[in-house]
Amino acid sequence: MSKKMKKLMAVLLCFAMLFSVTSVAQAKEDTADVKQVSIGFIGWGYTDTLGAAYKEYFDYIAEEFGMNVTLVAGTTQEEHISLAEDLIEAGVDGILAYQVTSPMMKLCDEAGVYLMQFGSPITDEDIQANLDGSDYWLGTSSVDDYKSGQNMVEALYEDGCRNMVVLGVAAGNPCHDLRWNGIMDKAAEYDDMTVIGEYRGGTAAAQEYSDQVQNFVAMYPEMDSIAMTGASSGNLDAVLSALDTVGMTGTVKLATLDVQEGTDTYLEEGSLLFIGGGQHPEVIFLAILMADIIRGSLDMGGEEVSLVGQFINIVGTDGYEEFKKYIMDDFPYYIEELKAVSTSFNPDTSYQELYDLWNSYSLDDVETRHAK
Amino acid sequence: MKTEKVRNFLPLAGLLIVFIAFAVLSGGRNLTSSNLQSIFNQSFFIMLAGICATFVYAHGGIDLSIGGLEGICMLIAVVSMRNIGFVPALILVILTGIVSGILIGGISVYGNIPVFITGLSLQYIYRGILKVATSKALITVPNQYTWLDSWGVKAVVLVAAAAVVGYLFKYTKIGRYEKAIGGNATATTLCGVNAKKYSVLAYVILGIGVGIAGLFAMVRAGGVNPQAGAAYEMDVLIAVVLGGMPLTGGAAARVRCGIIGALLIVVIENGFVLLGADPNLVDGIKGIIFIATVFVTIARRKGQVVN
Repeated sequence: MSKKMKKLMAVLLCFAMLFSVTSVAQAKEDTADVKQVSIGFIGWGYTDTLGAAYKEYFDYIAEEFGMNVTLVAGTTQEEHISLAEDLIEAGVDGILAYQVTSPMMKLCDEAGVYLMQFGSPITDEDIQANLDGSDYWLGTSSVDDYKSGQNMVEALYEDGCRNMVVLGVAAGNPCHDLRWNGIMDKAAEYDDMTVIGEYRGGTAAAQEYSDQVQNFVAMYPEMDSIAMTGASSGNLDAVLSALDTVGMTGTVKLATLDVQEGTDTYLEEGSLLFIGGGQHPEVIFLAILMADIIRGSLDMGGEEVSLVGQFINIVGTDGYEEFKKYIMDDFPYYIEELKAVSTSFNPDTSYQELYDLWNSYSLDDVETRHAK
Repeated sequence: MKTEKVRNFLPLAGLLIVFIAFAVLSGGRNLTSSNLQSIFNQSFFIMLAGICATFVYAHGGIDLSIGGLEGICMLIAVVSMRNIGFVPALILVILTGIVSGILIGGISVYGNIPVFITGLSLQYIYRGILKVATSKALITVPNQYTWLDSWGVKAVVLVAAAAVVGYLFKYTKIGRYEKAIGGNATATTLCGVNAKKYSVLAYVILGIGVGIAGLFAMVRAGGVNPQAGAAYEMDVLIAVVLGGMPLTGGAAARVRCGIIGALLIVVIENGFVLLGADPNLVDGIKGIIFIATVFVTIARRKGQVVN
């Protein structure tokens, strides 16, 4: 093949891919009998446990709820602003973001696009003041990350652990920051529990955590537990295999969040004591509220949306099978259950009913509703 | 000679082809004035650093510290603007850029340490400072400075930077010496040029550009957090390569490379969002488009020596 042909082939290949991407995007056509609402979702990625669960849930509900959801991903504030600009240009009616800032609100105000934050409440007073002055700010949803951090420490303490190492990603991720604070504050409450080491520089790269665990084991033979702010992206396997390498499986107990495949083995081995997860329906409730408000079927009367949900916690081997069956391998809320609390589909329902449904989330609750 | 002219035109042609392709696929959505402003706003930071990086790439160097430097400048800018105002903040970020340029250039050139090692080391130092300073909370910029986040202000800054850098690069000995160093450093030194001094100067110019970009990036982001400036160095590197800059340095270096490459990156990213593409596919397709663009546009000379 001549050089010119190779170059031509390279260009044609790129265009073929572009067209294939477009066809995927255009396949998301409206089939619902309500006004179509276009929502942009700014996450951090869709390959980790939680991000993948968000994507799967949106794929499940979008068409049924008359939503066209565009998922985009970025990690820095600068990227988030650029993504918000692009989503607005793409014609979305509302944006769900996990790190709302004042410039993002300004962009939405100018474009007449609604904005909500998922994952955590607004903690910065300056940002909150700017959001309060906007007609397009709708509110937040959060799961209690701070409390989940405390729960991790509590479980470790009750299991007899007293010398704990804490692992977390670098400060700046609102959810992980709250978990970290919860861990530290709870540990400080126990007079006979010591945080013997902490590592918070992580980019959440699994290898980084693995190395740190081995370092801590070498430095602190008395170490008996680890609290880690997140188990996604291979971190769970990395930390536990590092403990296995140094012969500490079952001796050092781990407490963390983000239940995933293989968790059952670790729970049975005794190396994993506590794990929480299953918080992914949070964004679905937020998206439903946003669509209801945009369609005009829900009037919040000037009140901000403030959804609060729960993690589902697994301690020891209890509950894992049920968690896998009802949360991991199935959707915790089915379409009809969600439509029942959406004013677009059920004019008799209210914000409070949706709030209560999500706020009462637990493994028992899902088992009761979806008994198999 | 004719082939060389065609090759010089290829990156721009690539940009136009990609832009037109997305215009067709998105039904012209990327042609609206507001979207064009968004593309400019998003590419401004990469363009500014790309323009100022011309001297570094012309002499065959590379600066991997600029992501951390941008983050540090964002931090200095936000603290200064909260306490002492815009002008002192601008002066401080420029000074920080100069000091950083002297550090990376001085350590690598006079300490005889490979510049990518120096760059990575400084990047770690900057990131460490940033993490400590912002570990408690996001530091936000006061509302009174949002006027800086307008495309008009950025256009003035960019045109001024392009004019100054273009003049220095084309009409003064600074540009000629940088290209000469990239072509053959030993021969340039034997001709009586202080190659070390001019190499350091190149990093200082880049540092100034990154400092100014950092101030604008902070205003755009609304503040600074530990991730500020992450992967900025890779964005700039990819941009200049896509724009046709030879990483080996020398006479083929052009100021326009950073501009064309930055626009190409942003047009692609913007286009994928406009199309509503699956986010898990986008990175892979972006990578293929980049490599195809470089495959078509890169200058291949036999017997090149990497500086």
